[in-house]
Amino acid sequence: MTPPLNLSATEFTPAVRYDASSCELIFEGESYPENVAAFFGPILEWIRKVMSESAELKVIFALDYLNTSSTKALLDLLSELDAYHLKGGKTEVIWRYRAGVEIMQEAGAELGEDLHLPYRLEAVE
Amino acid sequence: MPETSSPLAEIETREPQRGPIEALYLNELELLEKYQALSADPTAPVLPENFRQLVTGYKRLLKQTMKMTAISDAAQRQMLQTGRELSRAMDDLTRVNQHLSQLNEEKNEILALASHDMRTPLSGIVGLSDILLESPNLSPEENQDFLQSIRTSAEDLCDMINDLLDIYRVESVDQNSRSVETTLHDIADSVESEHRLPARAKQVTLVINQVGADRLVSVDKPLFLRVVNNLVSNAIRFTPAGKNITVTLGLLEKSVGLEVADEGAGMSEEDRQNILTGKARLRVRSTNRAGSAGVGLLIVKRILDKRGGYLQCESELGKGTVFSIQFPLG
Repeated sequence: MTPPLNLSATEFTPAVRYDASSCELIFEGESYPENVAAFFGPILEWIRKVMSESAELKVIFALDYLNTSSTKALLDLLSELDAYHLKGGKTEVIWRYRAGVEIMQEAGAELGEDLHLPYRLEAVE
Repeated sequence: MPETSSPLAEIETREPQRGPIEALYLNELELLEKYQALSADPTAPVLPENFRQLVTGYKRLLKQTMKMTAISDAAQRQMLQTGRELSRAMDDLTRVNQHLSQLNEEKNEILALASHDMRTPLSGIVGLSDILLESPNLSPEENQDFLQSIRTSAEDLCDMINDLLDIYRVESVDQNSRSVETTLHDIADSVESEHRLPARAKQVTLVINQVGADRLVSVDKPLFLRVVNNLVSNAIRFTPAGKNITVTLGLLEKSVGLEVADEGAGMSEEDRQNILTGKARLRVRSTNRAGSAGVGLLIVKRILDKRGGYLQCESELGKGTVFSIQFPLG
């Protein structure tokens, strides 16, 4: 069974919530922690556990801002999800950005460029 | 040929204190460690030179990436902080702008009211002067009457200008009271001597009551008198001949209480609310057409607000108005 995951947003980190009913993991807010590995490490471990159970996982990024280190952490995370997809795991990623915020739209496009898993950009008003 | 010095020597010595960036690039660093182990293994096949060059290039690239990540993170953090400070400064600026715009609106209202009120005495002065200039055959009594009227209009004008200046002086009144020891009796005397003649001129009876008249009180007397005088002269202005104005002074626990009751025209609920909320717009006109009550009452309201005082007003059109105030002691 997929363990719960619910982190509140802080000044430097996004809220991270897992909704078991929809199998959605959502990142919401800004991401520029002092120690990115310390923040994303446990989340990545959680994702690995989900993947080890061959569970479905839909990841939604609704970030307003992310720094370079967070970008690197997301690239690693996406890379593992992509590998899961290539092995037959059921996963998809949605990159949600505020309509008109070009930098976040471009960041989403760049991050998803070399992936094979279902990945889409979604503008929200 | 295996390397004589470890390509990871620098990283390895720092390993126990791996920072956030090293932790972020752990997978890439581990790849280098694996290569290091392979190069040190005498049983492993000798790696080709171009592969060693590739790994050295990879190591250099990784170090540069790690450095760029750290620099970029620091710059972004600084940028965000500056952005937030700018945003706070913008909020402050918006608040100041709103306040300034409110003050400007208020100033325009006061100026509009004052200009409107000044027109009556000014027209009187101009009209009466024209008559004097164009009528050489007026009797000395007529001349005297016209000159007296011109003088009265000029005095009204002078009062209005003083009121107008007072509004801006009140703004500079600080929170510190300049209290003096006095008695309600002294205050009543000042009020009476100030208003006796104007009341008599309008054939209005001015009654002053004092409760606890001889007890010494500590109060900012000039400011309190300005409040009392504004209310009383306002009452005189709005009370028709033959009617009464009753001024009652009394001591409360922490303030001086004052009530000014007239039997004048009274005012609408809208005007009453405008006084209590400190707006200059008043529609009521005085009995001798010498201006409205707006500016004088605005001064009263502002002084009381500055000093933490209290203003109440009850009024009924055609029946009169009662102003009650509490002016803090000390």
